[in-house]
Amino acid sequence: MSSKKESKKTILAVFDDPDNTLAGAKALMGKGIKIREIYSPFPIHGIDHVLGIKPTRVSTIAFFYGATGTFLALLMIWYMNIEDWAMDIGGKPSFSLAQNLPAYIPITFELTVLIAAHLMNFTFLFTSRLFPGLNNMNPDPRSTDDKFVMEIVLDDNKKMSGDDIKSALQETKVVEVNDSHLLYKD
Amino acid sequence: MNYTFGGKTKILTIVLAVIGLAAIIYGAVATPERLLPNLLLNAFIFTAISIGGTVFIAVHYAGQGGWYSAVKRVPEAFASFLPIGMFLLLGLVVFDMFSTSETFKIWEWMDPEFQKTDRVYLNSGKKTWLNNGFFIGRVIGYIAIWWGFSYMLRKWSRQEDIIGGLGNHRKSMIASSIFLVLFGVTSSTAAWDFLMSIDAHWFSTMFGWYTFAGMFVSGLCMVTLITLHLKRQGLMPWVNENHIHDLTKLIFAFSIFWTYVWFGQYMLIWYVNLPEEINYFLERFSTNYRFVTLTALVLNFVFPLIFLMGRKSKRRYGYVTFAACIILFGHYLDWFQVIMPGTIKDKWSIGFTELGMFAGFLGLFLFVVLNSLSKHALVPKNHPFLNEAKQHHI
Repeated sequence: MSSKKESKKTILAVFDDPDNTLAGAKALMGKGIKIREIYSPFPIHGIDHVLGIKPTRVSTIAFFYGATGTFLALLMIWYMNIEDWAMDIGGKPSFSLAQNLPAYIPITFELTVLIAAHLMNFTFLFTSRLFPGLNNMNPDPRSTDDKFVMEIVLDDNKKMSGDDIKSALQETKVVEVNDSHLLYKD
Repeated sequence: MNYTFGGKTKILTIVLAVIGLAAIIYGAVATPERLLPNLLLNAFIFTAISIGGTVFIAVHYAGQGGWYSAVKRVPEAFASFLPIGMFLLLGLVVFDMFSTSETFKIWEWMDPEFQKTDRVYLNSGKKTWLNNGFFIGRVIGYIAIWWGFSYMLRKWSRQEDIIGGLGNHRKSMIASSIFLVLFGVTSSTAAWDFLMSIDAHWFSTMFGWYTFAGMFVSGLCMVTLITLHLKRQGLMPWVNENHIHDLTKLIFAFSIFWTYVWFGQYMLIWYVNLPEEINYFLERFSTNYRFVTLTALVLNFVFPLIFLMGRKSKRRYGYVTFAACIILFGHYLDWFQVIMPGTIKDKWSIGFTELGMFAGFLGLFLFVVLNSLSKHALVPKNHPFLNEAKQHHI
């Protein structure tokens, strides 16, 4: 994220409509302007595709979390109901995990979901570097309400001057173009 | 842009229908005891597919869905098969009530002797629900509700093309909401009547939902298959992989829902192990039906779970066509193992009678539906959400 020293060289383009933001981002990316980040009150559909963000891999890891949950659930049930204290399930005293499996499916399912969901949450927070007490990284507080803020860092676009970028921005349906030091004075 | 029904497709559906007719004649002569159960099976499956299409439309009307309007003419056309399937079911019911022959019999409780002597039937309250007059009345009620709403939704949608405005949309929304409530009840009771009452002593409270899930999945598979057929003809350019993705998502979700209900029914009965309930599963797991039952479970659960989970697999037309065919066949097998153990017991087999009749009904269904599709525009041009559907992107 941009530190306050860097923020002087940042252009903040403010949009007031998600579709215009998406179209604007598409137009800028088409001209080879790199966008660092877009701050939005809600997820804009398709924006990750436009910004060229790689698809998340959390679904792959979720499978392994789920498999862990299944294994732990079966291990727990096996120990409780078969090994340590053999249970007669529904009048079928077979004392075998495989033969009593239908009775264990609901618990196994719930624990699979529980463990996968919790570990996925923690993974998401970890990879997004979100933790309690974190400072606000949002350059313009209005992006939590009704504005969509596009952050373009000049260091990312060495081949273009700030004026080039601003004139490219004027061709989109932008509402305001701000230099970030106008908003956040050191 | 209109669909012209002709050429190879038309010939193919007619050939399939003729094969079906041959299979019926062959079945009546060579394997008479297998004829009626198979008629019931196929009539029920294709009625279920047709009504599944109407449920698809009604759900989206009631929920103010947008994207479905791109493909909504396809399930609308299913309504034209509905009377054929439903009157065939009514015919089977009436025939069965007056049939005295041992060979041509589906529902054992319709036997006058059974109604006079069976103690479970007389003493458990089943008599109030399962009696000839009420049964026929209910089937007529299903026809009135299912066909009536399907017909009206289709009619208003076509009117909307001509006069525009929001009036027809609003009417359809109200009608859809009423239909969904009525269908929630009648889909359950229809499942009890046509399928569950074959084993007159057996009962399961999950059966209605189990059958509904199968109905909806089969209907969705057919919507997807016909939409992809139209796309292959170069029609419906506004339908793209996003719409197919959503359709396949629904197929996937309701396949899982089907499994959930299947397992809910199985586990409770297995666990409690009551003689009058467990009999149903003993007939299916301890006999040679076991193979059919397990294959249906694999095709309807394991197959979609593995093959339809990924995003890319839901967006490839060839892949989706293959998967929808497999799942449709899976539900054929599922309903096969629902109907056959109670009717023809161990004399079952899957031969020319079964496959030929399935092909025949498929041909008839496709002939009627595609013929109806060709008569009207494929785009509901005045649908208020059409623009949203065209821009649909996921």
